[in-house]
Amino acid sequence: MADELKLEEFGALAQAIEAEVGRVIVGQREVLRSVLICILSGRHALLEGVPGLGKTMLIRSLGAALDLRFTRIQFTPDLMPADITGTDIMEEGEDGSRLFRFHEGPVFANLVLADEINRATPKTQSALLEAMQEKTVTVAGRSYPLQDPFFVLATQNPLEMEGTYPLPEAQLDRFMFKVRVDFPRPDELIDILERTTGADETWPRRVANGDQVLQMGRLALTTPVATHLMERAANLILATHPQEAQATDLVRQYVRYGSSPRGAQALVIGARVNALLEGRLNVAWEDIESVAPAALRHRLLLNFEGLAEGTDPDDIIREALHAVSRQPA
Amino acid sequence: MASLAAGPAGDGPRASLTTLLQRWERRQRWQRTWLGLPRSLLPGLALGLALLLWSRLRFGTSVESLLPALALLAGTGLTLLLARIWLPARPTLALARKFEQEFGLSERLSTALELLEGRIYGGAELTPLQIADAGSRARGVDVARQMPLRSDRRAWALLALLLLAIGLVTRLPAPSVPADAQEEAQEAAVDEAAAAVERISEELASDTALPAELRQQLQRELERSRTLLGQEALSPEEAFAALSESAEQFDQQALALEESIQQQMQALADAQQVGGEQLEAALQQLENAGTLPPGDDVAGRLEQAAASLEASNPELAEAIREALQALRDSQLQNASNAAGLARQVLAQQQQQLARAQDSQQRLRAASDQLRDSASQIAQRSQASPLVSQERMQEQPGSGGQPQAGDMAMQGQPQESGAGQTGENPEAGSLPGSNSQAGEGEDAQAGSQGGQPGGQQTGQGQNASEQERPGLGGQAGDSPGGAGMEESFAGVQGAPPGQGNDPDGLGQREFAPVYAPRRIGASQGPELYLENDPGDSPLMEGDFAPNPSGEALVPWNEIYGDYLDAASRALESDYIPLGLRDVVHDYFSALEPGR
Repeated sequence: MADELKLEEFGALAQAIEAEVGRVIVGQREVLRSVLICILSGRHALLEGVPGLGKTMLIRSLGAALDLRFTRIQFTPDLMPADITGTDIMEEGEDGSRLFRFHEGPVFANLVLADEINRATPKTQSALLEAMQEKTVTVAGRSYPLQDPFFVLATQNPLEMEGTYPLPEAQLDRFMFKVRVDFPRPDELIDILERTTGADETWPRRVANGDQVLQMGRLALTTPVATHLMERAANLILATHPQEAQATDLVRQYVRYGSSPRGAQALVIGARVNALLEGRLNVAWEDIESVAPAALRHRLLLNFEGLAEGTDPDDIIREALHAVSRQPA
Repeated sequence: MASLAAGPAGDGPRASLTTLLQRWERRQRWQRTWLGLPRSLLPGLALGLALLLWSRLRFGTSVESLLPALALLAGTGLTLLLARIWLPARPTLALARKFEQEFGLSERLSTALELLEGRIYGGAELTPLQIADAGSRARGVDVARQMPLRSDRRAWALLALLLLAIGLVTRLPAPSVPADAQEEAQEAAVDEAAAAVERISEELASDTALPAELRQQLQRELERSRTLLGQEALSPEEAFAALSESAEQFDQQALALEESIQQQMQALADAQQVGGEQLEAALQQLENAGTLPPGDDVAGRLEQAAASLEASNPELAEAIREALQALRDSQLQNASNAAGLARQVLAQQQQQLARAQDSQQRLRAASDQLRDSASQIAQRSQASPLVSQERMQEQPGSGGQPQAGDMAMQGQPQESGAGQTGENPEAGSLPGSNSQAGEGEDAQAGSQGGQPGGQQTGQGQNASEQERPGLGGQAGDSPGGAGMEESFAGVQGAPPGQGNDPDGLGQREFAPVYAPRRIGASQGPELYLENDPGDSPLMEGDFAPNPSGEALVPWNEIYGDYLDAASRALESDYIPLGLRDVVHDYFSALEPGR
C-alpha cells in the first residue's frame, strides 16, 4: 500500500475529479457529489431518473477520471445471473483434457454500471447482492473475490414500470445512496446541446486511480463527528420510524417502516466524506442535512396511504430533519 | 479548502478555546443586560405608577413614602433580569454548541473540544488540524459585530415615558387630601364634642345646687350623647342630632329652672312688697330687740308676707308666723328665736336661689357649648357631598329643635322664624306643627309661638326668652317646617327648599309635615302634602283670630282635644294604615303626664 494520502492531496484530488467529470457532465453537481461520496465511501449508489439525463455518461466519466475498470451491464428481463457473475466454461486443453474454466462476468470490474437494474428478474438482481455486500462472487461452489475498489452504480427508470421488477428492500438497502437525477435546468440544457451536438467529443482525463480513491475514502472516514451530531443522526433515523417518540406527523401517517441502521451508517459516512469534500475538518449538521435525502429516501417503506397519495419520501425526510434540528444543542 | 491548510494546534488549545468561549459568554451577558435593562424596569415602574396613582388619588399618600416602594419594584425587575442573565452557568461544551450555532462555526468548536477531551477520535492527521482550524475560526469571529450592544429604543422610550408620568404624578396634588382633612376635621370636631360632653358631665356631677332628679336626667342625656359620639361609624349628621337634642334638653331644663327661680323670687319679692321692704330688717330687729320696728301695722304686713310665702317657702312663712305669735304672746325670747330662724331660712333661700341661678347659668352655658360643638361638626362637614347635607337635613330628631339653635349660633335673630310664621300663620295652625317641647307654661307659650300667634312669640315675653335660641327653635319649626328648612340652609349653606324634591321630579310646592320618626318609629318616610291649588290653606273647625297675640293655653288643657281629633281621624280611616302607629305614638309621647 502506498503512503497514506495527505489532506492537501485529498482536496486536490476531489476538486480534480469533480472538475474533470464536470467537463463532460453539464450541471448535476449534486448527483456527481453524491456519487463521488458513495465511491469514496466504498459503497454503491442507485441513480434514478428518466432516460437521457446522462446517468450512464456520468458513471462512465467517473470511471474514466478515476482510471477504474469500468463495465456496463444492461439489465433486461432475460438477463441471467451468469451473465453478470460469469460462469464456468469447459475448455479442452492441448493434451485433450477437458476442464472448466471460470470466465469472469462483467461484475468483475472496479466500477460496474447496472443500467436499468429494475428490468432484470429478481433472480438476476440478487446475483448482484452477494457481489455488492460481500464483494465476492460464488459460482459452482467456488468464491471469487472482486477487485478492490468495487462499486456498483445502478440506474433505474421511474416511469416505465411495465415489465419491471422493483428492487426488493433488502437489495435497495445495499445501496448507500439513492440519487435522483433531475431534468437539467434550461441553461444546463443549452450547455448540453452545445457540447454534445458538435463534432468535438469531450472525454475526461484520468486524474486519480483506484488506490488513491481507496486512500481518499480511508482519510474521509476519519473525519471527526461531535457526539451531539451522532445523537442527532440517531434521532433522525428514529424519527423515520412511526412507532418512535421522535416520529414526525408525516412519518406517523405515511411510513410503515423507517430507515434501517444501515441508513444511519450511510448518513454518518456520507456526512464525513461530504465534510471533507467541503473542506471542513469535522462533520457539521449541514453535512447530515445534505446527505440525508439520498441516504434515507430509499429506506423509507411507505404504507398504503403513502403510496396511494404518492407521498414523496423527501418531504418526510425534510420534516424529520427540521424536527431534529430544532432540538436543543 | 483553505482551512485544510491550517497549522497544527498550539499550546493549550483547550484553555484557549475555553477562555474565548467565556469571553463570548460575558459579552453576550452584557448584551442581554443592556437590551433587557429597560424591559426589566418597565413592569416595576408601570406597577409603581399605578400604585402611585392609586395611593395618591385614593389616600393622598406622600411621594416620599411611595418612592421606596417604586424603587423596590423597579429594583426587583432589575434583580430578576440580572439573576436570569448572570446566574446560570453553562458547561464549556454547551457554550461551544451555542456559539458555533450563532456564529456559523459548523460544529467546529464542539468537535475540537470533544477531540481535546478524548470523547471522540479522529484521524491522526485530521485531529490536530481540526483543533487548529477551530481555534483559528473562533479567533476570527468579530464579536463586536456578531454581538453588538443593541438597545431597545422602544423600551427606552417607554421607560422615559413612564418616568415622565411618574414625575408628573408626584407633582400632582392629591385630590383626596382635602377629603381626608375634612374627615379628620370632622373626627376632631366629634372628639372635641365628646370632650365637651365629658366636661359638662363632670361639672354637672359637682353641681349640688341642682335637684338630684334633674341632675340624673341630664346625666343620662349626656351619657346617651357620649355613647353615640363614641361610636366609630358615627356620621356628622348623627353627632349633630345627638348634640342638638342634648342641648335642647339642657335648654328646657334651664328654662324650667329659671322659671322656678323666678317664681320663688317673685314670691319673695311679693313677700317683700307685702311685708314691707324691710322684711329682713324687721326680722333682724325682732331678733335682736324683741320688738318690731315702728310703722303702720308691721305685724299685719308680716302676716301677709307669711301668707304670700306659704306656697313658695312654707318654712319661712311658718317661722314668721311663730315669731309674730310669740311677740303677741309677749314671749320675747321665743319671738327673737323665731325671727332668727326666719332670717336664717330667708338667707338660705336667697343663697339657694343664687346657687340655682348659677346652676341655671351653667346649664345655659352647657347648652351653648353643646350647640357650639354641634355647629362645629356641621360646619366641618359643609364640604361633604350634597347627599350628606340632605341626609343631615333629614336627620331624625333634628327636624325642628336644633336648627333654631343653629340659627342662634349663626347670629340670626329669632324673629326671622317668627316673621315667617307671621307671614303664613295658617301653616302654623296645622296640628303637626305644634312643638313637642315645653312642659311648663312658658315652654308652652314658646312652643305655641308656631301657631298663629307666632308673631307674638317673636315679640317675646321677657328678655331672657328673647335671647334663648331654644325657644326660637320651638317657634321656628312650627310654621309648616319652613323654618326648619331655612335654618339648615343657614348652617350648611344649602339652598332653601332643597329637600323639597322628595320624588326627584323637580321642586314643587309642598308643605312639609314634620314626621316624628324618633317617637317609637324606626325610619318613617318624610311626608309632604301638596298644597291646595290657589294657595288656600286647609282650614277646618272654628279658628278664631287671636287678637291678644299670645298663645297662653296650657298644653295639658288642649292636649285632650287634639287627642280626640286624632282618635277620630284614626277611627274614621282618614289616617293611612301605615301611619296610624306614628300618629298614635306621637300623641302618646306628648301626653302631659309622661
